[in-house]
Amino acid sequence: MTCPHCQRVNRVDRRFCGGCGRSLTVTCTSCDYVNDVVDRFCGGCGISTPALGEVVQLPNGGVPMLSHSELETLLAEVPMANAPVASLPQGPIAQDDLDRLFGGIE
Amino acid sequence: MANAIVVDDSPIMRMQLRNLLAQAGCQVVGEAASGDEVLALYEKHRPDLITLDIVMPGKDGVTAATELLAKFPDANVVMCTSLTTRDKVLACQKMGVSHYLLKPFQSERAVAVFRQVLSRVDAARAGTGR
Repeated sequence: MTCPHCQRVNRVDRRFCGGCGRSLTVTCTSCDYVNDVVDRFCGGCGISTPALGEVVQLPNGGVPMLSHSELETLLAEVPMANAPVASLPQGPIAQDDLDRLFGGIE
Repeated sequence: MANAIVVDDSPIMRMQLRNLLAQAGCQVVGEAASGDEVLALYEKHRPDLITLDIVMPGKDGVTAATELLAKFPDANVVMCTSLTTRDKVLACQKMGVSHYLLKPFQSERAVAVFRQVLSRVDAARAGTGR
Protein backbone atom coordinates (compact mmCIF):
# COMPACT_ATOMS: atom_id res chain seq x y z
CA MET A 1 0.00 0.00 0.00
CA THR A 2 1.01 3.63 -0.39
CA CYS A 3 2.20 5.22 2.85
CA PRO A 4 -0.06 8.21 3.64
CA HIS A 5 2.89 10.01 5.22
CA CYS A 6 5.73 9.67 2.71
CA GLN A 7 3.91 8.17 -0.31
CA ARG A 8 6.32 5.24 -0.57
CA VAL A 9 4.66 2.22 -2.17
CA ASN A 10 5.08 -0.72 0.19
CA ARG A 11 4.44 -4.41 -0.20
CA VAL A 12 0.95 -5.30 1.04
CA ASP A 13 2.30 -7.53 3.82
CA ARG A 14 4.38 -4.78 5.44
CA ARG A 15 3.26 -3.53 8.85
CA PHE A 16 5.58 -0.54 8.83
CA CYS A 17 6.58 1.75 6.00
CA GLY A 18 9.95 1.04 4.44
CA GLY A 19 10.34 4.75 3.69
CA CYS A 20 9.54 6.49 6.96
CA GLY A 21 9.04 3.70 9.49
CA ARG A 22 5.51 4.62 10.45
CA SER A 23 2.89 1.97 11.02
CA LEU A 24 0.79 0.97 8.03
CA THR A 25 -1.85 -0.78 10.13
CA VAL A 26 -4.28 0.15 12.87
CA THR A 27 -5.86 -2.44 15.14
CA CYS A 28 -9.52 -1.70 15.86
CA THR A 29 -10.04 -1.21 19.56
CA SER A 30 -13.57 -2.60 19.30
CA CYS A 31 -12.97 -5.88 17.49
CA ASP A 32 -9.17 -6.23 17.06
CA TYR A 33 -9.43 -6.30 13.28
CA VAL A 34 -6.21 -5.08 11.67
CA ASN A 35 -6.99 -2.24 9.26
CA ASP A 36 -4.85 -0.33 6.83
CA VAL A 37 -3.88 3.01 8.35
CA VAL A 38 -5.76 4.82 5.57
CA ASP A 39 -9.04 2.98 6.19
CA ARG A 40 -11.96 5.16 7.21
CA PHE A 41 -14.11 2.31 8.49
CA CYS A 42 -13.03 -0.77 10.37
CA GLY A 43 -13.09 -3.86 8.16
CA GLY A 44 -14.04 -6.01 11.12
CA CYS A 45 -16.98 -4.17 12.68
CA GLY A 46 -17.63 -1.25 10.36
CA ILE A 47 -17.14 1.35 13.03
CA SER A 48 -16.09 4.73 11.71
CA THR A 49 -12.43 5.44 12.31
CA PRO A 50 -12.00 9.03 11.17
CA ALA A 51 -8.99 9.64 13.37
CA LEU A 52 -7.05 6.60 12.26
CA GLY A 53 -6.23 7.72 8.74
CA GLU A 54 -4.97 11.15 9.62
CA VAL A 55 -1.38 12.18 10.04
CA VAL A 56 -0.93 12.63 13.77
CA GLN A 57 0.61 15.96 14.72
CA LEU A 58 2.71 16.30 17.86
CA PRO A 59 2.25 19.32 20.14
CA ASN A 60 5.54 20.72 18.85
CA GLY A 61 4.05 20.91 15.36
CA GLY A 62 6.38 18.38 13.85
CA VAL A 63 5.27 15.27 12.08
CA PRO A 64 6.23 12.46 14.44
CA MET A 65 8.07 9.26 13.72
CA LEU A 66 5.69 7.19 15.82
CA SER A 67 6.47 3.79 17.12
CA HIS A 68 3.73 1.19 17.14
CA SER A 69 3.23 1.52 20.89
CA GLU A 70 3.11 5.31 20.69
CA LEU A 71 0.48 5.09 17.99
CA GLU A 72 -1.61 2.70 20.06
CA THR A 73 -1.37 5.07 23.03
CA LEU A 74 -2.65 7.91 20.89
CA LEU A 75 -5.43 5.79 19.47
CA ALA A 76 -6.59 4.85 22.95
CA GLU A 77 -7.50 8.51 23.39
CA VAL A 78 -9.87 8.74 20.41
CA PRO A 79 -13.61 8.26 21.09
CA MET A 80 -13.69 4.97 19.19
CA ALA A 81 -11.65 3.33 21.93
CA ASN A 82 -14.52 3.69 24.36
CA ALA A 83 -17.25 2.67 21.93
CA PRO A 84 -19.54 -0.06 23.28
CA VAL A 85 -19.02 -3.45 21.74
CA ALA A 86 -22.25 -4.85 20.34
CA SER A 87 -23.15 -8.32 21.48
CA LEU A 88 -25.77 -10.92 20.69
CA PRO A 89 -28.61 -11.82 23.04
CA GLN A 90 -28.64 -15.23 24.66
CA GLY A 91 -31.99 -16.10 23.11
CA PRO A 92 -33.12 -16.22 19.48
CA ILE A 93 -31.24 -13.88 17.18
CA ALA A 94 -33.31 -11.34 15.25
CA GLN A 95 -32.41 -9.01 12.40
CA ASP A 96 -32.29 -6.06 14.82
CA ASP A 97 -29.59 -7.87 16.83
CA LEU A 98 -27.60 -8.53 13.68
CA ASP A 99 -27.94 -4.91 12.55
CA ARG A 100 -26.49 -3.75 15.87
CA LEU A 101 -23.68 -6.32 15.76
CA PHE A 102 -22.67 -5.37 12.24
CA GLY A 103 -22.68 -1.64 12.84
CA GLY A 104 -26.32 -0.63 12.50
CA ILE A 105 -28.24 0.80 9.58
CA GLU A 106 -28.06 4.53 8.98
CA MET B 1 -23.01 1.61 -11.39
CA ALA B 2 -22.03 -0.62 -8.51
CA ASN B 3 -21.90 -4.34 -9.17
CA ALA B 4 -22.35 -7.49 -7.15
CA ILE B 5 -22.08 -11.26 -7.15
CA VAL B 6 -24.89 -13.38 -5.71
CA VAL B 7 -24.12 -16.84 -4.34
CA ASP B 8 -27.15 -18.90 -3.32
CA ASP B 9 -28.27 -22.39 -4.25
CA SER B 10 -31.88 -21.26 -4.74
CA PRO B 11 -32.64 -19.73 -8.16
CA ILE B 12 -35.67 -17.99 -6.68
CA MET B 13 -33.57 -16.46 -3.94
CA ARG B 14 -30.98 -15.31 -6.49
CA MET B 15 -33.75 -13.62 -8.44
CA GLN B 16 -35.03 -11.90 -5.30
CA LEU B 17 -31.53 -10.73 -4.45
CA ARG B 18 -31.07 -9.41 -7.99
CA ASN B 19 -34.21 -7.33 -7.52
CA LEU B 20 -33.21 -6.05 -4.09
CA LEU B 21 -29.73 -5.16 -5.27
CA ALA B 22 -31.19 -3.36 -8.29
CA GLN B 23 -33.28 -1.27 -5.90
CA ALA B 24 -30.06 -0.38 -4.12
CA GLY B 25 -28.52 0.71 -7.42
CA CYS B 26 -26.38 -2.35 -7.89
CA GLN B 27 -26.14 -4.63 -10.90
CA VAL B 28 -25.53 -8.36 -10.49
CA VAL B 29 -22.64 -9.37 -12.74
CA GLY B 30 -22.19 -12.96 -11.59
CA GLU B 31 -24.08 -15.73 -9.84
CA ALA B 32 -23.21 -19.09 -8.35
CA ALA B 33 -25.05 -21.86 -6.53
CA SER B 34 -22.14 -23.02 -4.37
CA GLY B 35 -19.29 -21.59 -2.32
CA ASP B 36 -16.90 -23.56 -4.53
CA GLU B 37 -17.11 -20.88 -7.21
CA VAL B 38 -16.71 -17.81 -5.03
CA LEU B 39 -12.98 -17.16 -5.38
CA ALA B 40 -12.95 -17.61 -9.15
CA LEU B 41 -16.02 -15.41 -9.61
CA TYR B 42 -14.62 -12.73 -7.32
CA GLU B 43 -11.26 -12.70 -9.09
CA LYS B 44 -13.02 -12.42 -12.44
CA HIS B 45 -15.42 -9.59 -11.59
CA ARG B 46 -13.90 -7.87 -8.51
CA PRO B 47 -17.41 -6.74 -7.47
CA ASP B 48 -18.28 -3.99 -5.02
CA LEU B 49 -20.37 -6.42 -2.99
CA ILE B 50 -20.95 -10.16 -2.72
CA THR B 51 -23.91 -11.89 -1.08
CA LEU B 52 -23.32 -15.35 0.35
CA ASP B 53 -25.82 -17.94 1.47
CA ILE B 54 -24.43 -20.24 4.17
CA VAL B 55 -26.05 -23.62 3.68
CA MET B 56 -25.26 -24.67 0.13
CA PRO B 57 -24.13 -27.81 -1.67
CA GLY B 58 -20.36 -28.07 -1.74
CA LYS B 59 -18.46 -25.37 0.12
CA ASP B 60 -20.63 -23.53 2.67
CA GLY B 61 -20.86 -19.75 2.78
CA VAL B 62 -18.87 -19.25 5.98
CA THR B 63 -15.94 -21.25 4.62
CA ALA B 64 -16.16 -19.38 1.33
CA ALA B 65 -16.23 -16.03 3.14
CA THR B 66 -13.22 -17.01 5.24
CA GLU B 67 -11.20 -17.90 2.17
CA LEU B 68 -12.37 -14.83 0.26
CA LEU B 69 -11.57 -12.36 3.03
CA ALA B 70 -8.19 -13.99 3.65
CA LYS B 71 -7.26 -13.36 0.03
CA PHE B 72 -9.22 -10.13 -0.49
CA PRO B 73 -9.55 -8.34 2.88
CA ASP B 74 -11.36 -5.43 1.24
CA ALA B 75 -14.16 -7.63 -0.12
CA ASN B 76 -17.61 -6.50 1.02
CA VAL B 77 -19.48 -9.62 2.01
CA VAL B 78 -23.14 -9.70 3.06
CA MET B 79 -24.30 -13.05 4.40
CA CYS B 80 -27.88 -13.83 3.29
CA THR B 81 -29.15 -16.81 5.18
CA SER B 82 -31.84 -18.19 7.45
CA LEU B 83 -29.18 -19.58 9.76
CA THR B 84 -29.01 -17.86 13.16
CA THR B 85 -26.48 -20.11 14.85
CA ARG B 86 -24.64 -17.90 17.31
CA ASP B 87 -21.13 -19.14 16.55
CA LYS B 88 -21.65 -18.74 12.81
CA VAL B 89 -22.86 -15.17 13.27
CA LEU B 90 -19.94 -14.27 15.52
CA ALA B 91 -17.46 -15.97 13.19
CA CYS B 92 -18.77 -13.86 10.34
CA GLN B 93 -18.50 -10.67 12.39
CA LYS B 94 -14.97 -11.55 13.49
CA MET B 95 -13.70 -12.35 10.02
CA GLY B 96 -14.87 -9.01 8.63
CA VAL B 97 -18.19 -9.72 6.96
CA SER B 98 -19.96 -6.41 6.27
CA HIS B 99 -23.47 -7.44 7.27
CA TYR B 100 -25.71 -10.42 7.97
CA LEU B 101 -29.24 -10.53 6.56
CA LEU B 102 -31.82 -13.04 7.65
CA LYS B 103 -34.21 -14.80 5.29
CA PRO B 104 -37.01 -14.26 4.63
CA PHE B 105 -35.78 -10.78 3.79
CA GLN B 106 -37.43 -7.63 4.99
CA SER B 107 -37.11 -5.93 1.62
CA GLU B 108 -36.68 -2.36 2.80
CA ARG B 109 -34.10 -3.36 5.34
CA ALA B 110 -32.17 -5.49 2.87
CA VAL B 111 -32.05 -2.61 0.41
CA ALA B 112 -30.92 -0.27 3.20
CA VAL B 113 -28.12 -2.66 4.14
CA PHE B 114 -26.95 -2.97 0.55
CA ARG B 115 -27.01 0.81 0.14
CA GLN B 116 -25.04 1.26 3.33
CA VAL B 117 -22.36 -1.24 2.36
CA LEU B 118 -22.05 0.38 -1.07
CA SER B 119 -21.83 3.85 0.48
CA ARG B 120 -18.93 2.63 2.60
CA VAL B 121 -17.25 1.38 -0.56
CA ASP B 122 -17.69 4.83 -2.08
CA ALA B 123 -16.40 6.53 1.07
CA ALA B 124 -13.36 4.27 1.21
CA ARG B 125 -12.57 4.98 -2.42
CA ALA B 126 -12.95 8.71 -1.89
CA GLY B 127 -10.68 8.56 1.13
CA THR B 128 -7.89 6.62 -0.51
CA GLY B 129 -8.19 7.81 -4.07
CA ARG B 130 -8.73 4.23 -5.21
